[in-house]
Amino acid sequence: MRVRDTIYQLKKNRLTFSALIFIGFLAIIAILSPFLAPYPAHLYGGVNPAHKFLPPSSEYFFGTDEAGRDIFSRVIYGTRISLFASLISVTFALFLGVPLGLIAGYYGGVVDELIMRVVDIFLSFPPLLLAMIIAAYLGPSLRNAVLAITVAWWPWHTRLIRGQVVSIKEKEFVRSARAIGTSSRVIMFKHILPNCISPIMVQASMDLGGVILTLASLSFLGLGAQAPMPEWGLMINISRTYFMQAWWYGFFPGLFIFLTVLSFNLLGDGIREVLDPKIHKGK
Amino acid sequence: MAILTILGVIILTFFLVRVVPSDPARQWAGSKANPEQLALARQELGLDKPIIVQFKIYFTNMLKGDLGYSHTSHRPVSEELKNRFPATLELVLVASLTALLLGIPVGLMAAKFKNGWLDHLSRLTSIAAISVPTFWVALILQLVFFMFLKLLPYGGQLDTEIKLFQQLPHVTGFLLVDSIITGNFPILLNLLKHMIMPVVCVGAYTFGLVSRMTRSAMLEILSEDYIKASRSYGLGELFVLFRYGLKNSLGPTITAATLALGYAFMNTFMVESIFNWPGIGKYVADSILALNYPAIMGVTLLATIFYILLNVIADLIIALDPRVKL
Repeated sequence: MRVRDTIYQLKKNRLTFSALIFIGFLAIIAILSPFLAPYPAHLYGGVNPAHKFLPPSSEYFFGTDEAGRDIFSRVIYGTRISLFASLISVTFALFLGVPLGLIAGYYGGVVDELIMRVVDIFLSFPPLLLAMIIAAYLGPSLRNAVLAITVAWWPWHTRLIRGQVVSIKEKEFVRSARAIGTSSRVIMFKHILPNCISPIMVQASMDLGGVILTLASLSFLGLGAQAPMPEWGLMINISRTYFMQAWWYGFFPGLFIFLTVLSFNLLGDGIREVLDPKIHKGK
Repeated sequence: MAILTILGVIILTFFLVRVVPSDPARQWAGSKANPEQLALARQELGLDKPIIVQFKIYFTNMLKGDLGYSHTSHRPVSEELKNRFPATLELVLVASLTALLLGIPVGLMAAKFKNGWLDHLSRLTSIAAISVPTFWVALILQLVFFMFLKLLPYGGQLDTEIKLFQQLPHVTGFLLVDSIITGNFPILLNLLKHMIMPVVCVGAYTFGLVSRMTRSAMLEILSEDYIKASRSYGLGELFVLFRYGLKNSLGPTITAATLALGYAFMNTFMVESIFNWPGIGKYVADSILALNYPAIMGVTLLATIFYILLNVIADLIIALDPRVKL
């Protein structure tokens, strides 16, 4: 019932709903990109100097780059890289952050103190700075950028979950489970965790926008994906050298980053609005 | 508590930059150095000592304000940071102030006309401002205002001719303040022209964040009974909104403002490198790319202290509200 109501509320807000549809559209592009790209040979290689820096046309929708490669094909394929890498980052951060939050919240005391102080230290870094430092020291590559983002992101989940667990663990059902001698591990993962799932999912979906943006920023700074990978941020970075000759080179990859992050953030904002009882009261 | 966190940050950065195999001695001595020079560099940097001893040396020097020497320029990191700090602070303050002055009224109006077209429009612009990649906005601004319209300079803080041939005012070290108090308007004008694009890029995120937070804070307050009561007394709507509404949403707004400063600071990493702005942000990006670790550690320390300080200030201001118990 709750889920259906949420979906109904989301549908009512046209902006949120269009964001949801656009995300679905992006997911399809990401899955089918190797088949959708008009010039699959241009994704990683393919040099065609005769066609370099051609403006957008019916032959090359987004124009061509310094090697004469089709930017449209590369941007389309970039959707797959960005979405996939960001999903992995968010998942890793969840796998690291959620159990720690469960343990801190459930056991309390010294364990809680210890975990949360470490969380505090991580949270006092600006996340982009932390990700930049880690990515630089691991050596620039897409894989290391994903790891760096994971390290910068997990403490946010830990803090969120801990707060949830602390309020849930005093509820009747947890106390009864404890009274009949259920083991702590079972209580944490079978009784408490399922009750934290919805805030976790909301948080994770809202994070995706920020993670995609951070990943593109790392690549833009030269700390993420490396050439010739068709990654959005990297393409904009390379395009800066040629920006007087080819405005379309950096424009289209950036437009895709913007629209993707925008729709994830609109969706996240919409979900939060629907789930927040305080805002509804005002009607 | 804050001090303990800062201590944690110092330890974490120190060991983070040392677990990774990179050769600082080679960086220090240059790529053409022979083995003897390398050994000398290692000794000079204290790299021949055990890591715990290294940390002790670093920590005691740091307490004296000595952050070590930059591996690329061979100059003291603390001095380089001091020289670059004013340019960044000016950028961050101008950008956040602009963002606050625009964001608070927009959030207020959005809450007032909830679910009206104004609310939807402000929602779209605020979230767009949060979502847009800073480096892409910079690129588009440069394309439009530098390349096509030829209105604004590509980057830098001042025109090269002015920097080379004119005596720059130097009183406080803050160029904006100095050019105003010495009445040097040509320089002021030139500086402002160079600031427009970086300010837009640094402030966009902040604007979006502030207007969203003001909106949700106001929505919560507008549903309170005392607002309904004052309305039913027939008090003017604007009076209710500003006198009772805005006053009571000051807490969340201040939280937003401090967050705004933090985010604006973070955005300078990207923006300053793109616009060649001679501040801390460009220094961070350059040092990280060069793996220049005394510089990285100095900046990280500065950034986290700035962050933590902002939070403490926010807590203190909110505590002035008699309803809040700390």
